[in-house]
Amino acid sequence: MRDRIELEARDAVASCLIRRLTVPRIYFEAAWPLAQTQVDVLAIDRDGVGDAHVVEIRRAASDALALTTQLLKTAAPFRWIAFLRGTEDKDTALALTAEKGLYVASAAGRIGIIDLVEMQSGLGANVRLAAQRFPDAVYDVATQFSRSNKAHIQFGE
Amino acid sequence: MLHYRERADSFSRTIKDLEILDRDAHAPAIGLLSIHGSIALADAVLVAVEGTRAKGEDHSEAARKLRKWCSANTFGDGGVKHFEWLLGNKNRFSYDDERVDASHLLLAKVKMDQFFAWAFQTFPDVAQIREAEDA
Repeated sequence: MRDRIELEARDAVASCLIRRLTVPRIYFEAAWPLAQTQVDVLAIDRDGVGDAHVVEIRRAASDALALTTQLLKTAAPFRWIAFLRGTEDKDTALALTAEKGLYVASAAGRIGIIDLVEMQSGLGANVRLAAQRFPDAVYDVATQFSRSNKAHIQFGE
Repeated sequence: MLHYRERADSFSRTIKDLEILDRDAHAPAIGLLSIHGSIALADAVLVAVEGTRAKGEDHSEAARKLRKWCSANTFGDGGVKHFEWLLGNKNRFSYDDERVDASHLLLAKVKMDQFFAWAFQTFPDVAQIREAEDA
């Protein structure tokens, strides 16, 4: 059973990615073929034919950080974790500062961090640490996925 | 091609920043950036498919070239009408003596998004050329 904040955060994360990307298609609880399990948010840039962004959301920073091992095995050029700001315990805060677990030393790419912020108007999301591109050329998979799955948010005609 | 698409991306991202700052207050800038962002993306597409962009100050040649290319290659040209709408409002948004309503100016952003979506779907090579390393 997912936490209410985690469910509410999907929209906030989507808005955050929409601000950074160009007419992306957004999918919630997406069965991204290159992930072992469903991903919380999938954004495919440029109307579904561009770069794929995979986001895993957890209320607590430590839970989000625990997902990075799995996320490093998920093929997608951009990968993110999102969690509620202020939920970091000491160990997690140190690990995040050191970017521990966010990348593989021998390869390009770094998992990005999105902060979830509780505001009077609802939940907001901001990038704390930008994701860096992983060398996964998966345009064909992304295009096929966007053609065969209805997006929750999409632009265009 | 990348140069033109980067210009289109820059205009598109600036529009989002302006929307966050104060969408209504910046509506005239959003309208103009939507037009010029679309012109830049049309240039990127034409360079990709024909090797050269359109010449001419009114940019209507670019729309004609896009329609012609789509017709010759049996591609749908549904997005070109949004580009033409934007071009048709360029002088009005830029120089007209009469005030342009904010809703009309902001509609330009919707038209740009529609044109962008069509362009990326129809010309995926333009969408998939190498981007920045950071997201």
